[in-house]
Amino acid sequence: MIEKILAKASKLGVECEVYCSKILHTYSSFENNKLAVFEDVLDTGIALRVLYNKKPGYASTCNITPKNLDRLIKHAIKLAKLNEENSFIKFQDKPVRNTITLYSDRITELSSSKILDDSIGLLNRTLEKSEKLNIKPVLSGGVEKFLLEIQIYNTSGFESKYKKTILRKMIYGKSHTPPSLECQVEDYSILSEGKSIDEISDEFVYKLKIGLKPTRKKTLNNKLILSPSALGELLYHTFGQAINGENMARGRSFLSDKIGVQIASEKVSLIDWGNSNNFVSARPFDGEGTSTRKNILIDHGVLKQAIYDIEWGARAGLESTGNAHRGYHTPLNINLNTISIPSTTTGNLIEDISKGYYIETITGAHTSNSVTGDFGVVVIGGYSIIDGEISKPIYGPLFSSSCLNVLNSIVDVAGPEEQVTINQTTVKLSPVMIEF
Amino acid sequence: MEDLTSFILNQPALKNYEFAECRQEYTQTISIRITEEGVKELFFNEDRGLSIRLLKNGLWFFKFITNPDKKSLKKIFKNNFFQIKPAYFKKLELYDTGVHVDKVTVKVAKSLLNTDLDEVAEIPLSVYKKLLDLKKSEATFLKSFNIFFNSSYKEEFYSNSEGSRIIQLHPFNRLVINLTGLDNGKRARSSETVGGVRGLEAFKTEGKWNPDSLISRSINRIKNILTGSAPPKGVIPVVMDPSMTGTLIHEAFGHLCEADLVAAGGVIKTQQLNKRIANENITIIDDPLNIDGGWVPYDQEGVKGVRSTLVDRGVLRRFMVNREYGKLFNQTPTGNARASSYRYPPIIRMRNTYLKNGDFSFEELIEDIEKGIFVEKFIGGQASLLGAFQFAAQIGWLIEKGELKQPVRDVSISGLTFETLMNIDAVGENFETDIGTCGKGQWITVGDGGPSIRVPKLTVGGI
Repeated sequence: MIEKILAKASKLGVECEVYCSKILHTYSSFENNKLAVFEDVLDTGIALRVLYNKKPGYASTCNITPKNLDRLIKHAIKLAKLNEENSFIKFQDKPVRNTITLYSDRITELSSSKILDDSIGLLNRTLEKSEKLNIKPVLSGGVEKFLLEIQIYNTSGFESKYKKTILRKMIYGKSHTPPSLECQVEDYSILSEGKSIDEISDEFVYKLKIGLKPTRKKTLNNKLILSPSALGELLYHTFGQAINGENMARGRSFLSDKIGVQIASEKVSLIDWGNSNNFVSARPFDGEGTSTRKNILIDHGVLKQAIYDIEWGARAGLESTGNAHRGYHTPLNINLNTISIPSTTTGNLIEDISKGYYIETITGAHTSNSVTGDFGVVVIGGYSIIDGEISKPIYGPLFSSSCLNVLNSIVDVAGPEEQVTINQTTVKLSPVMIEF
Repeated sequence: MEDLTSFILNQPALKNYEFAECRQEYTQTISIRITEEGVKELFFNEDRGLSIRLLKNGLWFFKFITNPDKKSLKKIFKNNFFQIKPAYFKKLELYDTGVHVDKVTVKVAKSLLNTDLDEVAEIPLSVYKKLLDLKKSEATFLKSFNIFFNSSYKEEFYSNSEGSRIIQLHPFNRLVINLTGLDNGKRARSSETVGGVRGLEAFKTEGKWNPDSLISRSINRIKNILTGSAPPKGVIPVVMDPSMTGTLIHEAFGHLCEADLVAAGGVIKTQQLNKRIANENITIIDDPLNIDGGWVPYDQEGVKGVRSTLVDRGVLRRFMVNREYGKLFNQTPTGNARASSYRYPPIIRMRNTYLKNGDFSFEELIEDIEKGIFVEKFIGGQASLLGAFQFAAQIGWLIEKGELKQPVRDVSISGLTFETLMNIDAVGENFETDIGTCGKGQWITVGDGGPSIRVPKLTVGGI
């Protein structure tokens, strides 16, 4: 059918790209201590991009029949005719050079019953373990597996495809008697079954235990440790938008004109690493078929480059960096594939602090001003640090600053690395110490 | 589109379930994005699919397929999904909401179904031309802009094993204008959104969503933000405009009043029903029939949308429930089970949540304030289940000795929800609602708003 679409497009005198997506998703969730929904879905669709005299037009559908695809090409061409010429948009003609493995038979073969049983197991075991400590939490979460198949073809002769599996186990909630912080443990894996249900429930119950009887704080002092999840949220919503080559070119970024400038502490190197299967969000090629790669965005504090798709790379006189994202029914946008900050030492950040705070979870990062990099977030889970040790759980203070201020105030990056996924970007880093 | 929902419910494989429902949708959408450099995206999407939700032994089963027809549907019943027998038995009862057989059609003069694509595209293109002209003339500080326009038409079919059969046919249109200004190294942004279940004629000069007024409001705001100073920090009197009030009501209070979050141990407890939780000047409504926001004549459980009073003169009267939580809390469902499309099972959501207006003029709201701030137009924020919130405004204005003074930029407010609801000491006579999107695992259209309000003490800071 793909050949027919491309042949039809050529016959109509347009360049054409076909993006095909198939997602199989099995999910068993629990909510408020009871099983909630068992889902098993198949989502398939096709997106077309055409270039009619350099004018782009897009159309997509899940109705994949020859008759409807004919109609879809006509729709895309009709829209292209309404559009303006854009000579920067080109379809990929270089073959994909990555050969990373993102697919596991073991995950694919996990049966629906196993997903359901693991979900029940995760809930029940966590409740049992909590009960032994006289903690009565209200829990939500679940177990889910994804199988993704992505294919791209175009009239320049490009064709490539990949398959990817993801297994995700998640539990979150809090205790009311006695009260605790809101706790969360998430485990993502693409090539193995990841952490066991017991490991996840143990980790969760440990967090619950140390988060008991939290006190509300109104202010923070100038020595903070940000967890991978908290820093990841802040960076994704500020730096992640500002490093977008389109936003930089259009002056919608606090990083415009900052390439080659020291924008962070020398301790900070930040990497977008789309072709490493150490990250759940890795993929061999992006939404336009460009090979993903290791992009060093900040090197020892110096901003090195922006991220691009084909169009905005060409506008800057550069190649795409492999950062075009899309679904079959969503248009292309430029975004980070991953966020990674290498550790600077092997030491323990906490033992160097006589009085400070460990910020574990925040809320409101998505309200950050991506143009200026300013943010104001509420800490919903953290701990005070006294004499080099984690002390009482806290919540409530407002943390206001800016992305550049945080990046410049990073003193050290060390401790156990953690992987979290924010929207579709995987963040993998160790806790960071900041000192204002 | 052929209605396949009854065909599904008649399949023998579903007879063993305690309850079954089927939703089918066909949506056509045109999306257009234009920047200062011209049209960036012109996107046509059609989405056709069907979902089945089944109840057995206390567990909901959910399955959807895209592009359904009778042949493919017969095939899915052979899938092992329908053979799973959960070793989990917990009685789950649904609130009896009766049987509804109805067809709701929103009649408009112009929709995607009867309008040429050129004419649809002209709506955002005319905004583009005006902004380009302004950028070259009186608004040279305008650095860049994004115009997003969506026009869609949706057909929805619902059937359940109790006999309900509902058809809903309606357009949906939305225009978003985001501006970025730059002057003397200072950056500013402003955002305006209009939309809902009206026809394309609403974008005409005399229409409800006339883009010209959006453009001038947005340009003026950018101009003022660029001249603005840093906000004061500390605990001071705050006056909120209807947009900020709506955010407080939706984000800080509304979510806490969703029954699934109450059951999860939010700060609202069932024991607080019929008790005072807010100042007596506070009445909070969740309304399903505002066509400029979250319009829900029937929800995705086939329950008729009914206006519900959550707080009546300071007293908590009810939660928002679906059929499951309605039974659990013994409260009548009023149409709050919503799903963003057939791809998702319905969950408890708001529709149009607002604070009822009072009788203070704006001058009366600010006249007694020695030093405070007026915050205008929500730009972002979130509230936690712990009852704390933090919201950013696009712009603020200093209030000194009862008068509005200079603008301030990057201002945010934060506080505790119930302390704030108790402290509101004056409610304005004005009333406005905004359309927005709300995320809770799935994005849906909602509305929120109310009058301007005054809070004598609230934490103000920068963002």
